[in-house]
Amino acid sequence: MSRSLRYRHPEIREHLASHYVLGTLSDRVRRRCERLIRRDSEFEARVYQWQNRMNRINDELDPIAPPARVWSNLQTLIDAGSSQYSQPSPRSGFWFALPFWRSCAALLLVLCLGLLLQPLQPLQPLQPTPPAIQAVNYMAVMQSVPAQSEPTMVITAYKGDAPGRSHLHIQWNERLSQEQLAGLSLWAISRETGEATDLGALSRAQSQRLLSKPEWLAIKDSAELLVVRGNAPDGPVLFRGPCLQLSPWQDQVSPG
Amino acid sequence: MRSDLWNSQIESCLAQVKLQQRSAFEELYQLTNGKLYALTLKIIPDRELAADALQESYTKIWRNASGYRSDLGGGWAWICQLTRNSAIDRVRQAQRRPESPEDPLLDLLVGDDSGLWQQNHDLSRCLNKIREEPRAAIVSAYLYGLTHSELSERLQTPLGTLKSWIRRGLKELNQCLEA
Repeated sequence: MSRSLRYRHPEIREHLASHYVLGTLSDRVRRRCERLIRRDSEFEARVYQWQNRMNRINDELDPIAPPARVWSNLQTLIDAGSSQYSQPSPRSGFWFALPFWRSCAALLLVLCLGLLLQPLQPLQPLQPTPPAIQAVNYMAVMQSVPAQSEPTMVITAYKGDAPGRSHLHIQWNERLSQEQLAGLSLWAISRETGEATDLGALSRAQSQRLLSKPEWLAIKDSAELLVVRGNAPDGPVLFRGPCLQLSPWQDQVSPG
Repeated sequence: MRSDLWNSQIESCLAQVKLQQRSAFEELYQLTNGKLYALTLKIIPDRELAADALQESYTKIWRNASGYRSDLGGGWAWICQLTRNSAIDRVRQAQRRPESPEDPLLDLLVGDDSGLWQQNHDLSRCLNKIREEPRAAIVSAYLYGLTHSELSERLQTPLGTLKSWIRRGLKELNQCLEA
């Protein structure tokens, strides 16, 4: 049986996934497994399942503080990112061959995110402790379907300080070319019922988009956000991302 | 078991590390460094070498966070697996055999009298359903990153028998966890 056929056998796949997580595979087989993880999403899901199961053991470890040099070295490495992190990765292509532009775009993305995360803060000199910044309440890091190596966009939701002031915003990953948003709609999938709530056309969220009370509640209760082509939730899913709560919020007298 | 809040903090940090946000990476480091150093020390008992391996693991987390699939599993489990793999690579490159000191944690995880280990979660319940020898082999392999040969030596068991324990033990574990 050829290797590729052998790796389709359920028992062999199970054996590989479990032993990969356990750590008992030889280096050669482990590398082969890692290649299989990258190109076979079903196998990847099996590995994640074993990872999650066995990880309970790590919960029993008592923390031990590492030497301070670990963090200071990491900072140095990240600061030197243009040389350390711009080395050609296994992915090839125009983008990855241009470290300078890549670093510039990464910087631009960080700046954009900085602005995004502080939408109501007026421009002022840097201070050690920033004054009241409006925190992101919910965030979904959206991946294209099938997933690419980088997330495509970040969708954030902010609770308004008055009824009708909650809003939604999207920010594209500046490293990727922006796709046309016309004809795409955004949906919140309830973590309780799995039902989809329409959050309207995606193009509306490019500028600051105000949310109605039901829309805010749908985001609050959502497990994930979906971007689909068309106006129905059963349309082709183009992007999806789990919805995370990043900060608490208090309801207003008349929320919305 | 870590709290839900702690886990959601990890998820949030990882989502932002995917976008190369340094502040999120620093927060992730603050949240996890003690646990990950403890995990690494199980595989590499030498503190200095383990610190080097830990640094390498965080470098990989920073560089490879985009490969994490939050739709398939928890971020903490992904981070731990990445850290274990890095530590195992280091140990094997150095061709060093992990030491085998007495480890109360192993007794806690493997012993029959494991009331201290959380009985209410599936892994401990299912591990306790399989025989002690396969249980010890599976937990030791995971905790110390040992190969079959190293385990065979440590548990003073023929290699074939050891492999068979692990294979059958994992199968039983899988059946129990999926039941």
